[in-house]
Amino acid sequence: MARHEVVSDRLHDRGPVVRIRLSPCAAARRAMKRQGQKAAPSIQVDALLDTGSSRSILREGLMEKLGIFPVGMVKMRTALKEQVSSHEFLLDVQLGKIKFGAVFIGAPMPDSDVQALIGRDILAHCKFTYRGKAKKFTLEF
Amino acid sequence: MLQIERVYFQQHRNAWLKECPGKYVLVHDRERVGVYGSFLEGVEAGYDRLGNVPFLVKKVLPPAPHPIPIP
Repeated sequence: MARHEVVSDRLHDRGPVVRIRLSPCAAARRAMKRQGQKAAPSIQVDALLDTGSSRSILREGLMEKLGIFPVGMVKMRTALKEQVSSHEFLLDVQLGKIKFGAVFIGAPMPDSDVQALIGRDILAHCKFTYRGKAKKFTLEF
Repeated sequence: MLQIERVYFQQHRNAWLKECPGKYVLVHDRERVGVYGSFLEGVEAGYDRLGNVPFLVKKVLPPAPHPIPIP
């Protein structure tokens, strides 16, 4: 079982935040190569492990840096109860030595100091342990 | 982006609900390119057949009553 542990003095203030590296999925990279497109560099973002979010989210605009296009669309409801359509993207995720694929929804995250949320769609595949007193949290896949 | 595909999906949703409920359709422009068993299969087929272009992979289900809340 692959394990990723984080110790943070800011765990209480900031929540369980991990640094992840995102890149286009393998099929997208193959397509880009076939089309003679130069693969965009992967991007590194801070992501909050958010058990309150059913889906994983990446701040709008960051997908363009990866040189890929949306592969899906979902309806979302904003804090003001407005319905908006948002795009979905299939990405490869690297968390320390752990690698997996995941679908991220591009959405505005105006009041957040992180660029991504890791929601229950990803957390469904791992064990998430939060040890507040020890200022530690662990993800096991 | 994907507005044409979204409208095409909505126009054909009822027919597809009878034909392939619960499957994932791959739509590009005003064409259904294929039907797949999972989202991942649909996306991989999209990149393999269409390349790095916008395309829509969507599960054939009745309209969702509750949109996903943005936290």
